[in-house]
Amino acid sequence: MEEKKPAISRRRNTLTAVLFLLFLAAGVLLIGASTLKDGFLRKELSTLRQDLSAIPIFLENGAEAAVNQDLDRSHIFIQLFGGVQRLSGRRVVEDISGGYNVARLSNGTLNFVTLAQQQEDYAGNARKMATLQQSFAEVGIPSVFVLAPQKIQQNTNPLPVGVHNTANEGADEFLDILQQQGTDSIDLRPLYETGGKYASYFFRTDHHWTPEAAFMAWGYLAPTLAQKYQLNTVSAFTAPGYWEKTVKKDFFLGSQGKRVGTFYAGLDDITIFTPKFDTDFTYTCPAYEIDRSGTFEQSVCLPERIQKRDLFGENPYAYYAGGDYPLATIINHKNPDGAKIVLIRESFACALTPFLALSCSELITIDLRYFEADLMQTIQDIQPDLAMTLYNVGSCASEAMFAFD
Amino acid sequence: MLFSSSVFLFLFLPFALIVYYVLLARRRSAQNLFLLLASLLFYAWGEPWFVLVMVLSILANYGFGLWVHHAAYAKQNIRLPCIAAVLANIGLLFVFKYLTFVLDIVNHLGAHFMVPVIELPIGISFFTFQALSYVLDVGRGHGQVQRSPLKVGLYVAFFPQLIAGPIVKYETVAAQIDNRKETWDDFSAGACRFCIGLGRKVLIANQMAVIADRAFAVPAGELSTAFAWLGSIGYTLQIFYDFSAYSDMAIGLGRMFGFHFLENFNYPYISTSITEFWRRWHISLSTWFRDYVYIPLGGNRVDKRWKLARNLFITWMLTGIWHGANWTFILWGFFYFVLLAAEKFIPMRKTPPLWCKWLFTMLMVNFGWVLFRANHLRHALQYLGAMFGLHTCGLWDERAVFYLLENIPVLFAALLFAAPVAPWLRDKIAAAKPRLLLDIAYAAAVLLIMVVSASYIIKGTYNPFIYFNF
Repeated sequence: MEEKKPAISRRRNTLTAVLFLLFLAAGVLLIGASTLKDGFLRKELSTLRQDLSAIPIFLENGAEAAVNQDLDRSHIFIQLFGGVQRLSGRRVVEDISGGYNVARLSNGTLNFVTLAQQQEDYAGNARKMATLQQSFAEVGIPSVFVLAPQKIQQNTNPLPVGVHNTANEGADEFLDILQQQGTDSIDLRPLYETGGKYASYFFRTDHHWTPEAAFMAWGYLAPTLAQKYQLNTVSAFTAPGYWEKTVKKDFFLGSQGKRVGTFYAGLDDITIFTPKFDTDFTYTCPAYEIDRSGTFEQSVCLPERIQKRDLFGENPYAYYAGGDYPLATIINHKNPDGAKIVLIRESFACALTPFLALSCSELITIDLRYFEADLMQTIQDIQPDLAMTLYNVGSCASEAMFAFD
Repeated sequence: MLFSSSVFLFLFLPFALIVYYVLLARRRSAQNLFLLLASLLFYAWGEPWFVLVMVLSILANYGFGLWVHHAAYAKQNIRLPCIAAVLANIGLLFVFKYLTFVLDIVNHLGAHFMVPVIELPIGISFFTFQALSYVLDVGRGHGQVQRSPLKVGLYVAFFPQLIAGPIVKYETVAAQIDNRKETWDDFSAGACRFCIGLGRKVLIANQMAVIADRAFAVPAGELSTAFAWLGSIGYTLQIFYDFSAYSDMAIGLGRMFGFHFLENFNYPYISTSITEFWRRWHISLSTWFRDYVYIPLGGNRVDKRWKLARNLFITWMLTGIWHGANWTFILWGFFYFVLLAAEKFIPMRKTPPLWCKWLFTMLMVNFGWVLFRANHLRHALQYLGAMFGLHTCGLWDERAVFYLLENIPVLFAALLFAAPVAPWLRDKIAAAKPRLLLDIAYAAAVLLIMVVSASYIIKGTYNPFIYFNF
């Protein structure tokens, strides 16, 4: 827009135009280099060559998404984007899909938030959970629902003005209904709420609890399960002294951090727990052709996840148990007389699973988001000593987590 | 294809520049043909089938141009080919844009026509008006007839202004199709303009869009007065930055290829009257309607006041309808007819202070944008009601606070640069010394805007373009 004829410097425009052309050229080179190395655009184009019906998707979004990924292989742009958001004082970085808005809490850590009001059916899910537990009881399988904490503590509001998280209240309602229906549940939240260190049990750039928090949960669950269900663990194993802890400093950028870069909220350390006692496991997951045997740190933990520091490409949290698998089995060869537990789980269970496996002879994990077989039949076939469901507070409203049919 | 997309910035544009300036250097016919093909690709990227509609429009108007030219050459009346061209173009626009709306109205009146589902080709109003301008300008003798349909195609479909304007009148660029001269001065000025436009679009318009879209999506009764005002101001800023930034990029790209388009915006939000606002807002559309509708109707030079009112009424109703097939646009056009008629016919006994005039103008413009943005008339009335405290959830709510706090720096920048602060700064800098350092600082700042904008694009943030729908 021109208000009046300006005295424009030719040199100024020349400098700008040269920088502009260099910037375009850099973009072309980045895309070109990525394409030569089997980049995303190349993959899209090879898909097109095989299937011309994919052209509309390619034109609508496929090409743009592929070019964006090729351009940002080194994640410079996402870092810059996050830095600008931080500088401009943004507390919520909205995601284009609306499902992954990242909020910076008042303590500087990150969490996903929803800005639109959503239908959250805690009561409906609780009734489904109770019905499932009653079905287990009918076939003689004890069961328990374990509620893991979420990053936002009860009765606190670290979110920006206008953003709300009512998941704790929803989880309270959920547990009340389980109690009314006479089914077992364990609420882990109080475990973390004393001592004023609540935030330290969660990653800064991720919504998950830390391995320390999961270890603590195991330390609480092991005697509880022993008392309630006579499922004994060698009690010494839960003592911190039996474990070597190695802290990998500034090693982890979580799910929220990956969306906004390190300039927005920094980085996380992650603690690697290694037992000082003998362990021997076999960990299998047919869907992902996983079959690994060996010690705790070689089988139920995946050292390849922490081999190198790759903030955007790797997920060191998945060092523990590998990730979210539809069905996986861990056999603890050192505890053949231990309990056989089925764990219906979500990602919070990743950090707990390797520890819990020490309490079992066999631990079978099922993630309902990916599991497609008949749940009840599968569990009846397994005949576990206990069917445990472990969800965090935020998962209690999820439809997929309670798709038991 | 969007200008603010990685595919355009890092594939299409570099490819177009290299082919145009390296492979086809100094071969004007080949350059023109390439620009036409590139433009068709640009359009087809988003509208693979509707590109055929545009090609049909180009060929038809090429034919109408020849017909008008032959009629004029043979000293015959050119009215018939001109009317045929108007009917054909408006007919095309009617089918794609207004048919379902009209059938809905007729059905409401008791008829039972089947209402087909018709998708709107992006930018159809822009390229139809531009194509019509070709025929009418040839008829008026304001430009030479083109013997080659490829050149008509290039004029209509040239990618910088194809889908959201500015509406380039044929007389403006007729000579440039064959006789333009590309210079480094033009190229570099165009590149600067493009970068600034990209920044204004991505860093300001898209952020304002979030506020506006959230506010306008709140159901009736749940909107607070403060959020209603924030949303309307957000939309007022969004539509200005969205559209004027697109014009900046279009004008900049045009210059990079040697074309000079006329300005489309001139700081409309500093206007102190509605008449002034429309001299500064979407200048190419106002000029189009002035030259092809208002003046042919007699314009201001009529002997009776009712005729002036009639001319204003027709022009503004058409302006409203041009924007879309919805009662909101018709009422918006009528709203401006009333305001402009009032300015023309109601004499002021005492001139109010300038700030009062500005405030009144901005309030009217803001209310106009609420009409324009609303989904339907009832929505518009509910929203305007909420702005005045009717049927709200209160004077303010947390959403208003949230969106205000989240966007303070962008809102501040948006309000600041809606005034001619940039040219003022530029003039100050031009007078300052040492120039070299300032030139380097300017170039670095523009590069920063470009890189930050690219980071938003690559991250995949909200990126709507309002005027593509027209």
